[in-house]
Amino acid sequence: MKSDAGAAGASTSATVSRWLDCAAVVFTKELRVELRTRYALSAVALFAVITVIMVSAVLVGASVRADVKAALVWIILLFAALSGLSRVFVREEEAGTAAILRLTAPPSSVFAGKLLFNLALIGVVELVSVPLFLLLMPVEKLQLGLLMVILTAGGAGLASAATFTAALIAHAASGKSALYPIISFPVLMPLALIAVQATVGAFDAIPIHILRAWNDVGVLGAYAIVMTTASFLLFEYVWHE
Amino acid sequence: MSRLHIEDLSMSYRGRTLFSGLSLTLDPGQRVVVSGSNGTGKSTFLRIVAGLTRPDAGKVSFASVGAASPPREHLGYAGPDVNPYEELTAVENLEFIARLRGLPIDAAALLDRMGLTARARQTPVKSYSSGMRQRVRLASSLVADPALLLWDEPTAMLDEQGRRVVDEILTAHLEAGGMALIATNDSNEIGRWGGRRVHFGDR
Repeated sequence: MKSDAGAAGASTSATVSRWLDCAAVVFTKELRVELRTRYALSAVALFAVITVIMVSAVLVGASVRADVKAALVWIILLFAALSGLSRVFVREEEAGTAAILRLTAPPSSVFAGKLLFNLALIGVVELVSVPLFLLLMPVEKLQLGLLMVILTAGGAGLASAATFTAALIAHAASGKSALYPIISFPVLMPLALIAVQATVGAFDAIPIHILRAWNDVGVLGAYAIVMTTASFLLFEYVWHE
Repeated sequence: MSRLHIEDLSMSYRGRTLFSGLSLTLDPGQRVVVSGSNGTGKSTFLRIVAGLTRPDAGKVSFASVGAASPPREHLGYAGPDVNPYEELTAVENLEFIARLRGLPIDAAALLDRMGLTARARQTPVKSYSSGMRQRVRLASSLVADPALLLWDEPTAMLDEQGRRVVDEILTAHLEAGGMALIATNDSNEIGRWGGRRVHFGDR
């Protein structure tokens, strides 16, 4: 009996280890391909940087309220995400490489590898565009710690939702670029509204807003957890033809 | 060694029946050539056996394993619908597949066997000719030393030397107790490979 339990434990451990290995291999491949082509990074980062510069140039000298600035930050991040995060799955289908993954890797580990890559991509975009935004459109009473937590939780939810939506539309015979924002819109709308509300607290530093922002961080975290869990549960149905 | 069982397989596409009630058994050391003109369902049949497409009805299984469908590690699939990653070199492509399967690999030796030069092996696939890409596809199907090879038009785009390599690999695979399902519409190849044949006709 004891040896049966031991064997089952070893088998589970081997399965988990293999799953983690596969996710890491998919992530490393994504990173290697991206470093050689810079397709997604160019699309996402250039969109974010250009938009930040254009917005700040248009609003130069104007007194912009904290809530408007918060909305601008998330509009830029959302549209930057929509411009590039779908590539992880769309590129596989268009290039005819998706079957390699279907034949060799557990579906959930493929999703995990792709999600990790999109998380890294969103992280880089936030690291570049948000400091640039704050440089060009300064926020006097910035709550930096709170903002970083909001960006982390919001970025995780954004990456998770965008990755799953990308998997959904990748099979479409045509019109992927139109389908992606249409399907993403209702999924990302609640995240955007909460993220903007939370960021207002980080920008205006009004105590009641800060308190509300910390509550919103919890909601953003819950959104990311629910979205990631649902994505892992549903991905296998989306992935196989 | 496993035996491949295909039972009562049926598939239709957009209201057109591609095949129905197709049954086939493949023992170690056997090959079946799947022939027929374009659009008759040869590739779909191979994709179903590979587990890439779900059939309308029927079952594909390995007798000794007792699985509902052939486990992935038993299969080596190469077809025009599976391309290598263009941004990676041939060696990186094979290493990627081997790592996903948790297997060790001597990618250079495998590509050498397929007739890809050392210089070509280190160049991204996007610079390859279509014949070289086909060699990478075939090498990818051999990574796990699978029991069952599923090759869809394996000699398409290959020169005479490449065709000889395919024949040599296939012979060695069957002599070692492997099985192969090969789809082609080339009458020369059908004659050359011989063995059992399943013909997909126009409906």
